[in-house]
Amino acid sequence: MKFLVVDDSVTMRRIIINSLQRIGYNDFVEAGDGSEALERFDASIDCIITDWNMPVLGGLEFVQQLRQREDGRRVPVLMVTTRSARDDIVAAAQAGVNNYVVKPFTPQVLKEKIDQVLAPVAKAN
Amino acid sequence: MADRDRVLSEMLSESEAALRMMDAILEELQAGDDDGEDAVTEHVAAQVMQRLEAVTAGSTDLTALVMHVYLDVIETLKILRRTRSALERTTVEQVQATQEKLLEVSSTTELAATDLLDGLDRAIGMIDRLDSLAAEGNTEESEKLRAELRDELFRLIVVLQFQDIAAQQLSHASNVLRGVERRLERVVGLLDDADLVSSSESAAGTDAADHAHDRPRGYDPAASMLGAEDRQALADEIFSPAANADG
Repeated sequence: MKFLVVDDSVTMRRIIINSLQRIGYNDFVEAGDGSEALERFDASIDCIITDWNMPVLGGLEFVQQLRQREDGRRVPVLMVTTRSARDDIVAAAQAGVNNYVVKPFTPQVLKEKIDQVLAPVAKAN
Repeated sequence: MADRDRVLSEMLSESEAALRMMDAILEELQAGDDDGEDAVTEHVAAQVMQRLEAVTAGSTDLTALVMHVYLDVIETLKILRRTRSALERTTVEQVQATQEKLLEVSSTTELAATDLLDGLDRAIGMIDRLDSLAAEGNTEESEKLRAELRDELFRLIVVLQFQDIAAQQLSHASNVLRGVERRLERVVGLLDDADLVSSSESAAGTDAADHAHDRPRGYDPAASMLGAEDRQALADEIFSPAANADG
């Protein structure tokens, strides 16, 4: 299972990757913003974890552009962000985000949401 | 001699009357709002001219001088009023909000530091116990304690999320201060007659221009360590299968 972890904060990328390693995942690609993530995304990516507020191209715009790509329509996307206004969360759902984690998160919540977004993938396999 | 005294006395009396009238006009202008300011000024200017002509009894030089002073005072008042409202409109609330954000950063970093220190104390205590267990040869208990130590260290890693959130809060505060600085520069510009109208208009348009571009920002102005559970509950509600089925 290969993850694309998108966050402009190196600290947050390390925390998320560390959390994923604790759950048992070990294959990662990192990106510092949405634009970089679009470049690094390919068919080998099984799941994307992205922040919202990033320079150059934000997380929401990244997901919108990803969903327009043939190879990016189905990949599960988990948004991990400080943004928690109802309108923001609804906008994320409408953009094609599969689940949502509010920062600061607990390892339990992150694991739970990763399990939820990966459940359909596991079922398909 | 008596004639000269009479003339002086009349001039003094007329000057006092003119000053009282100016006071009344200034009070009237200070009480007025910005809307229709020019119309009020024109109306009052006509009154001033009329009364000045009456009190100065045809002395055109004095009339012109007092009128010039009057117009200068009015123009200065206008500038000061625009300066005051520009400051009030654009800075006070933002500075207060930024101050609150900075206090939250301070409290967040202190709480995180306390969390880290507590965790490190617990980890050191566990290592000490591991040493004792090793001396006793108790491998079963050591195994259990090592797992606890890993959990504790991982928990400390997760605590470091405060860095991301505090960085976003500081970016927001820095951005607000840059905005305040920009606006203060424009307020200073307001005091320059030549830029009076254009500076005032551009100052008013700044917020709209900033928001209209809606450039991607590397921070969330509302980022907070507080109330994460409630905020997560809202996200769960929106992303719940039932909500998706309804939508």
